[in-house]
Amino acid sequence: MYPKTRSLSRRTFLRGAGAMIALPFFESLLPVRAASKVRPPKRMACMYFPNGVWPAAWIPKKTGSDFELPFSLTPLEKLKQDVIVLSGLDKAQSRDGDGHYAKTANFLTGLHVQKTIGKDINVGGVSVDQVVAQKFGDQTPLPSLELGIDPVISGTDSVVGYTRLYGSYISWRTAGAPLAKEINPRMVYERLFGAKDAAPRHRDDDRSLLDLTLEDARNLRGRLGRDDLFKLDEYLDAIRAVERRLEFASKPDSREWKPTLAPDAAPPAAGIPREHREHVKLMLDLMVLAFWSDSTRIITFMFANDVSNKNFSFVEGVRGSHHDMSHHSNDPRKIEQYQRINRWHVEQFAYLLGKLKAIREGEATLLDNAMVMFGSSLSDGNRHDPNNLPILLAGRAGGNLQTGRHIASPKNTPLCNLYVSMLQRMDLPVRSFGDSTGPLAGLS
Amino acid sequence: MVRTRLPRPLKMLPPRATYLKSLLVCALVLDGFAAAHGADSQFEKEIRPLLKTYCLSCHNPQKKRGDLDLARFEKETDIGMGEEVWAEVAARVLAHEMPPEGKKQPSIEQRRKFVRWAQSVAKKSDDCKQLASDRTINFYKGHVMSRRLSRAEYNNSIRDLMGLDLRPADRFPSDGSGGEGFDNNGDALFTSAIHVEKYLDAAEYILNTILNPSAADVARFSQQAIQSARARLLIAAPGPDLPPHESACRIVAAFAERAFRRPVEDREVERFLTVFDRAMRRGDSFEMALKLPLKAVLISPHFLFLIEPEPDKDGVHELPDYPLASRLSYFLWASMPDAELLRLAAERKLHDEGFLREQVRRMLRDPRSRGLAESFTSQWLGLGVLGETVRPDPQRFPEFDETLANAMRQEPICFFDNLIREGRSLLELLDTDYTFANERLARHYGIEGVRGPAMRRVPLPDKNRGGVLGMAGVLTVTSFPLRTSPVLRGKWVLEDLLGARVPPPPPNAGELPKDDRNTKGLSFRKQLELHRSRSECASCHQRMDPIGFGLENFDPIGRFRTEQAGQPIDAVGELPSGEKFNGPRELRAVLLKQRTEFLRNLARKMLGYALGRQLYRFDQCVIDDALKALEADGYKATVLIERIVLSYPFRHRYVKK
Repeated sequence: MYPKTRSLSRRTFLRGAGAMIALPFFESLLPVRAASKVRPPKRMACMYFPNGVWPAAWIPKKTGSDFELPFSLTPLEKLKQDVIVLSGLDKAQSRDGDGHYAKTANFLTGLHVQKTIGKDINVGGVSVDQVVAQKFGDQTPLPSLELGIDPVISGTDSVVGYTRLYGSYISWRTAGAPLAKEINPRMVYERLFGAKDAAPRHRDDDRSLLDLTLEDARNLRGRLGRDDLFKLDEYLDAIRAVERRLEFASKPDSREWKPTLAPDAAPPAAGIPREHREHVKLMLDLMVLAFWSDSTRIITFMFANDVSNKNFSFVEGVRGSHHDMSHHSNDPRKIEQYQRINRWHVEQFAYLLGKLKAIREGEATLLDNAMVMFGSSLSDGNRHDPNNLPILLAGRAGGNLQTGRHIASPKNTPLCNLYVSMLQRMDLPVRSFGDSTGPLAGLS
Repeated sequence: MVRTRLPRPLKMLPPRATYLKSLLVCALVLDGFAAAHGADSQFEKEIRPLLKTYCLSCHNPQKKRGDLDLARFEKETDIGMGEEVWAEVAARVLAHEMPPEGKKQPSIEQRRKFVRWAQSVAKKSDDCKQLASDRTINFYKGHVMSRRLSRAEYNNSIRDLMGLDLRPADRFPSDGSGGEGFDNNGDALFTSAIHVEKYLDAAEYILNTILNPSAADVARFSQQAIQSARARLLIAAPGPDLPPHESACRIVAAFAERAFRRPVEDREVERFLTVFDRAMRRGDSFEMALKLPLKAVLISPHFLFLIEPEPDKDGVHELPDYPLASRLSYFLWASMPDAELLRLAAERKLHDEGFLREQVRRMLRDPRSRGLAESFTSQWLGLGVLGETVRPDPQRFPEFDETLANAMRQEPICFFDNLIREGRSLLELLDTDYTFANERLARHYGIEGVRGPAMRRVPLPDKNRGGVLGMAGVLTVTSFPLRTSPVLRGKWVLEDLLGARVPPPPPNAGELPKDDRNTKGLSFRKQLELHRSRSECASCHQRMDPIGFGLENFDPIGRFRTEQAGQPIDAVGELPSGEKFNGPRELRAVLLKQRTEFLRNLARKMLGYALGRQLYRFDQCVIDDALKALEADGYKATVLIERIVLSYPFRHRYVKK
């Protein structure tokens, strides 16, 4: 039952209270457009939270569709039918190395993390999100979007022998080069909607300047040593990526699917919110906007960097900070608070899913067309355990996932098997990824 | 804390041992050197049995406590595998930190014999003299990478290039660090598409502000400032005698030369002018058209990257004058070279030691040397997280706001800047009777009579403060949101200040309550001591915790206190060496005795920052040399910096094809 008015423009709801983006979620705000025959595109997001979980309050007791949500997953009550709870997935390549850096940097590559304080940074391969972006990224204005909350952790940990930047990135363009993530909501908004507002002349000028620069950089190549070449080539690749983006904006849009979102823009307030809850909510809203407007189909998001010791005293029943609480040493009072921090993250995940579900696309919802993976690179944070990882998968990937179940995989099943299955559902017919042994059984 | 202690056999040891008697170990990470050592079969006969009896129950391949496996040394020929291991092992055993309390202890004679042996194995040959040549290149792996500018460097460069402090890089993504822990490490500086977008935006913003101030958001700057920036940029107005192309040519050539920090060739300028000519043909105004080549300069790799072109031959090469000028200015100013430096480079004088030294002195007196204080100090002390990811609990500490946090960040920077500018002793970082504060921070410290937001030098009447250990920023980032952490503070002193190595806790180590409000009648300190009674914890905690106890008089946001949760503060600490102290003032006196470790670590950090890379074996020579020079000349900050600039690694480039 569609209303007679057109869908509200972003401008209307972005003028919410303070810095918040208030997304519409009422049925009354659904667009006028009748269901079209064009299939909406599939979207994929990978969401990371640090410091693991308390497994007893995370893994449901029963498998299949008749399971109860344990304490940490209770925020998913209303969305249970849209989620798959996955247990039994391991990241074997993280069994050695330090407690955190060697476990987070490869969250989406599944391969070995090179122990280094700088030289030869390496996470084994391209991350799963970038595999998709590199294949289909040219179909949207932005090939992918890398989002986070914390600035990159500075310094090197000379004791464990890793650069701390490993704990700050999950998206890797190559095995040796992470993608910078944007943590400022206003900047994200400008990346999403700024370019369209630019005058065409401006855009053409920028393109010719980038051409000049590309030539400059190419001429320079001959004069550099090997390692320096890698750095310059990174710059060359980055220029080409921006050129492609400008080119995309200057050509008529060839996408059959037309997003249901009005294209005008009013940005969220400038600056990074000091309040964690507000910051996270803004970023989640922007993820919804990015998918909704089909600005990109691939997003990664880090709730915090690894080893984050964010103060979670804003959560009821918690008096302390995240990393400390994860080292609970089996003290029931700490475990109780650890679970509550885990549950807060699931609550945010549920918020995002709720928003995606409220947006109609074609015959279904945006959530049905998406596949949102949510998890951590440790199970019990107290033990830095990279086995039996806490992983949730939401959405139906355009009808290719049978949700509403708990799937417990047999012992030693690689997390990468899930990535193989996700890639296949993003129309990449791969047989292997990372240390996979095949696709993950039972997803559809 | 009651402890039985074996008498220390220090007097029986060779003189070199005295500086090792500290609780601390300077862990030199020596690279890829596996020399054969002259230790005879003594190892198998006498030393290996000692290892077996006292060490291997923890330091075996399974447990690998402290990331150390000593069982792998089975035969005498294995010893060379871990030269750096033995130096640390010797120091730890000598200081009675190993074997830890509660474990079987060796006799005095056994300990002495073992330490002497380990020290002899660890003793380095004097590489410094023989290594500085192309023939010994294998030891000199100090490859400084051509790399992009860090955020701070970009901001400072734009300020000096345009004459306006526009700070466009505040909108760039943050940078990670590598090597010795700084964000000017090429290996750890990546470039994503997002950077190129930001570079384009930044160039647009910079040039709009100056060329088209009416359209730009320029409320931050006075008309006068903008006019002078315009005059600096537009050095040749088109007119009857000067066609637009010629005028643009002069402007762009002068601008590119400064931006690229080297002379530019005509054909480079002509290439940039192609976009100008096209814009003029389509009818753009002169300044609108001029904006394009200027923008091209600002996104050129020659501006954004510090490029050190490579000669054809492998080996170590003396750095030519222009790249040397940039190395120098990005080290001392975190910004581009000025006209004088470029002039000396053009005259090929800069590589001359006399000129170079003179430039260092001039540059350190220049206000731009604050760039060094800002980048180096906050990264060395780990203050970047203050108010970002590390924030005191807002309910418990409502006093901690952005104004206070900002003053906390400024304090060590102003302090260090002043050390450099006035050539003062680096030991003031450990102990002194003044600091820098504004009204807000002074109030925080209980000092009266400071007015206004400007940071200035303030005498410290209270002897509890003085040096970095009394700075609120340091004390806050080493606390938890709801309580102090003697462990974190102790670890910070050991690792960041003294350069020691503290292994991470074993899995399943206990944790303390998050809040310092008295629980179960046990004082917080008692709980921590209970925690330390486990032997696997004791060996590290008996090094860290006492130092942290000595700082307990400072609360989680660095205010002085004499009681906590109704109990008087107990700030007594005793180090494994037997040294005792009560409170921050006495702790500082103890730390001053560790000045060698402190200076060695500081020199190491400073060299790592200067070179923007990880340090290798050969770099140790520079540190040793700097330490000698410091001792001979009152520990002046300027001496350290001068020695680094004049050093071999700073003035050479290692090329591998």
